[in-house]
Amino acid sequence: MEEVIPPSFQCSFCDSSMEESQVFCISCGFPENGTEQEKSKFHAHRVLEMRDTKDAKKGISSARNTLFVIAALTMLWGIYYFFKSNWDISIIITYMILACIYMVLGYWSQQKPLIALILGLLVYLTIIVLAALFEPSTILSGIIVKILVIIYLGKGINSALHIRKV
Amino acid sequence: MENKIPQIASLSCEQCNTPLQKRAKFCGTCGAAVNKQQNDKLQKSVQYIIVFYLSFLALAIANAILFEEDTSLSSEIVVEAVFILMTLTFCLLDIKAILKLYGLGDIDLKSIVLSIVAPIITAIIVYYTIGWINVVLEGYDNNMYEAYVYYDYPLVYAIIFLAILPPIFEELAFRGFLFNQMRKVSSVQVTIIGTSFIFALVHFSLISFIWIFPFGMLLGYLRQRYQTLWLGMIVHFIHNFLVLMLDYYYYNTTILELGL
Repeated sequence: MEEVIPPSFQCSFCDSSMEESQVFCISCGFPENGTEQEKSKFHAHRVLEMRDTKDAKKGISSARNTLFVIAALTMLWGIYYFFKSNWDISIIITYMILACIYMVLGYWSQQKPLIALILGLLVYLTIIVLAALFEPSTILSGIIVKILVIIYLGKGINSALHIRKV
Repeated sequence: MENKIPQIASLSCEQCNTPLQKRAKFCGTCGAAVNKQQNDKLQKSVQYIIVFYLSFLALAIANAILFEEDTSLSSEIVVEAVFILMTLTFCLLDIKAILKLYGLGDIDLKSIVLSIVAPIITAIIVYYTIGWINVVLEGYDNNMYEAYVYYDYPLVYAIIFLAILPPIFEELAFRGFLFNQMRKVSSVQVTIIGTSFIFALVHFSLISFIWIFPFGMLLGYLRQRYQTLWLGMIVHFIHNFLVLMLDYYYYNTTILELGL
């Protein structure tokens, strides 16, 4: 492959080798053989793209922190209900398993943000639904926090999709 | 092997149909980003995964409300029928890839022996450890067979609803549809972990989560390694059948004699 491409044709933006017939560099998208207007459009687009990527990284890390916050809150609720129910061991075990799940997903989102955040969102929705089935009034308690958590996790999933860090 | 499929699908630019080189991130002719074209497909798969799960969640809510009013054979049939219809509807969205999984794949003698021995081990371990955990935590152990004793032919219905239908349709839903969608957005390992996680989550019990999660990984591994749903169905059937038979045995020997 390399021998066919003459070394003289290189993308002036990223230095990767190009074929003469191609208008755009296939590595970075720079319009090497395009018009000046196309070139300035490329630079403007690149700045926007970099900002988007930075925002996406921020979105993922907010979602990750959200998972850690839910893990901590779940643990605290578990301890509270444990003492309130006169030391019912099954309550504390249930809450601790749940908190561990959130924590593991939070850590995992550093390597695989997309799937980890999707799973985190699904666990959270499931817990809200299960709690509401046992006690319908729980759905309204802390409704703002619940909506915020869902929004943060949803944004994180979108961000992970955006930078394709799957 | 599987890695090649998405690349072949995107070998030509979607905007101007020019063939793309293998390492291309952009189309050389029109400058369209290859990433972006794939991103839209990824987004669709992510939406499918979330909608898929939410529909199961909705079914679970309906189930819980229905069973609070009365537990009858007809309501059980309705819930099961809705579950089957939902599964089939999702599969229609991706029918080609699903049908392939009903071939024999790479099944060999070793995999068949594994699929028969493994569930015997899991069934016995799960039955006794979960039974013990339930007794320690809740003070009693659920007997699955007990829920069916008020029907005319309890054993027949219990076998149909617990040992035959779940292996067929849960394998189709989780190792078929969900596995395929998740595979489009992540690696093999992540897909096996992710599908098992969701499979464990839809059983809506944190105690069951502990054993269903690794059990799902076994089923996911078999699906990936041998490219077929049949082995998963065998494992799932033997496991559920043995657990049900143990419940049947203990119901007739212990619970009835105690007169509970």
